[in-house]
Amino acid sequence: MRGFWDLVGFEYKKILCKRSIQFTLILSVLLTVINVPVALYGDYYVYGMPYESNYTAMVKDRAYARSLSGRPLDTGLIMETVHAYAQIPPADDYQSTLEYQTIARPYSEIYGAIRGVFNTASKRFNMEDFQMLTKGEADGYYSIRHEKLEQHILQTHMSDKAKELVMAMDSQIKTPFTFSYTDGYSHYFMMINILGLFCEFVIAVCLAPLFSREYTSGTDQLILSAKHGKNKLIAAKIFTGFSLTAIIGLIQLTLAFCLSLTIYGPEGGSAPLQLFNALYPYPLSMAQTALLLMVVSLFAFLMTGAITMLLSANLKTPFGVIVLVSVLLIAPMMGSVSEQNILLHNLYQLFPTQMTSLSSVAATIQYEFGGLVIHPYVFLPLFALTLSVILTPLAYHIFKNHQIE
Amino acid sequence: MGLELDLVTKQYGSKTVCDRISITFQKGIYGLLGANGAGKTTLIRMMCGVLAPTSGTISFNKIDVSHEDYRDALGYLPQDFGYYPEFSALNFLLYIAALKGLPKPQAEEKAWELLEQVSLDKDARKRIKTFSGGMKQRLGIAQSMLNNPQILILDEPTAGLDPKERIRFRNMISRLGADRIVLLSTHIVSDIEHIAGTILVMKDGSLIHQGTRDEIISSIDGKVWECTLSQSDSVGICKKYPVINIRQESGGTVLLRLISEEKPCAEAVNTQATLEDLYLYYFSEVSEQ
Repeated sequence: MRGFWDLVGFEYKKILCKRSIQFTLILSVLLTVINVPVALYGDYYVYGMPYESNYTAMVKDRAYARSLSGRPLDTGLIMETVHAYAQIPPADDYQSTLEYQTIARPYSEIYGAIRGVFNTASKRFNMEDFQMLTKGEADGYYSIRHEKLEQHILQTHMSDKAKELVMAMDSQIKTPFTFSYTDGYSHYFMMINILGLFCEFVIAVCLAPLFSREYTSGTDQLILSAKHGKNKLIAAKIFTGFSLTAIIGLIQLTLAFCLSLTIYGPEGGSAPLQLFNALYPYPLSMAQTALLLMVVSLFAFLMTGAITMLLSANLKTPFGVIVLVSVLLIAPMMGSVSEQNILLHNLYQLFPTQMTSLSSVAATIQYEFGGLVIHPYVFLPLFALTLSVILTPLAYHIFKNHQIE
Repeated sequence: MGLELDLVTKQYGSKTVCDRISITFQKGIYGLLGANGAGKTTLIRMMCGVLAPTSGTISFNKIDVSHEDYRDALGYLPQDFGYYPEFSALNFLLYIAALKGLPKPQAEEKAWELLEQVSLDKDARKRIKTFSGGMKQRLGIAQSMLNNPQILILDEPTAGLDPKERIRFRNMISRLGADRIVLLSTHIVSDIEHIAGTILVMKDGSLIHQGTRDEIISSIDGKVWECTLSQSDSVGICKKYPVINIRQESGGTVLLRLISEEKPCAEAVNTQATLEDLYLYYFSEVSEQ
């Protein structure tokens, strides 16, 4: 290892001494800092007039939700919420009514948590429907949820084994859910996809010149004719690429997580994931889900790093690398693939930007190979790791065998 | 033993850039002379392991060019020398030293020593992007010698150097050539005329001559002429023969130095050939192009 760490140090210096990269890194941190509290900017308007600032609203709703934390989300709490919402008179904007603000609003997080289960394919469950919810319907909340999930699973083209496995996972979820204020985690889940895109773009900008800059600047001749230029240096470059990717990813993911919990509130880590989306079938807590998302995102970043390094070794300019990686990152965000076509759907989830989405990580559709059923949150990082392991030696050999012509 | 090239050939499609070159280099200074496009840089790149020959072998003391130990013995200054603009001269040398496998304390000591030799010690901590062309070239020369190489290959090393720097560089190479193989590629004849023990002449991808300065020059003995002519007579001669030098003389006449297989005119007298004459003899067509 003699000299390896010196070479790694120089590779870091080459990357971090560039103004454009310093600017990109600072900008990405700033964007994260600005993006986490984005929901708090501005005011809530009623009839064209500012009613209260979004920050005030968050503080108020957080206090209401905290007062309900620890209570089981059972018939009693649902009906208490229904009775409170029943007080709201008919209005174009019910949230502006005094009754909503004084009686129903303290229960708004409960309403938000359960309404999704009552949506049907033809009708979106709204506040008026909720006002008329009967005790019988409230009693059936968990069975409706289970039936809905079962129906969804049965409609997919997964194997029977996979369907059974998902239902078995779901049966492990403890009901009734214990309600908790979880906005710190919820905001993190909602922003991680866009945060992932930022990070992957920054990784592409930082790593694009790793090999290709040597071609454009003409230093490739010095490198490839030097003792360690065809082995140790390439290993040092690859180590630098992956370690820098990991550092950028860890800093950004941790910064966003800490900011989200600091700004919106840290509690809710042990609350079930189903408070964020009742139809997820995994018995995971909010904190476990956040950790899984971070791990999967980190592997997605490493895969982006490996793709960027391969392109960097292959193309003659860093700009071309950035353009290609940007297309790879942004294009999949423009569309979607139906769950009905499992193969395409599962392949689509393997794009780097898709991997950083909770809907991919906690998806109902499983990955299946020769009778083996693998959960998405296990398969996605495994795939990213495998692809990185395949691409890295290719980058190594392309640079090693580069010819100066 | 030594640096051996055996039937080294490089082809791009049907075009042969280097054609079955075989030569053995021993300790000493070699000057590789040829016009632009003669194949000098291609040959050098193959000797430095950055371009694979189409056929043939290159080895140093039986170690193949592709082997790490070969590169360990090599110092190379490419023609288009690349650098990192944001690095200081010292950092750049330390980086190349790490690439060459020098331990850190030794690298630092050697870097300072070389910076002093190429008169860059006072600018060691300045960024390379602030350097003039000559300073960059001196830095390039310094990096090529970091590992005290047994084979030192310099492709157009004096490009961008002023006359004083060029003389200092020649003296430095003369000293280095005593205990290693130095190959100096150039199309500037004066760079190698006085320091190269062996001169290689390359044309159209082949080595057409190799030997000492006098041996090489002897191939054009009797072909260099000088004559004093009137302005009008000189025009016709200049069109017909490769002219090395034209000097205006008093009385409206001109003194011509030219190359010709036979006596070009009655006034012409045979004169002692130089390396520059030889260059013109072989490359006049290429130079005119």
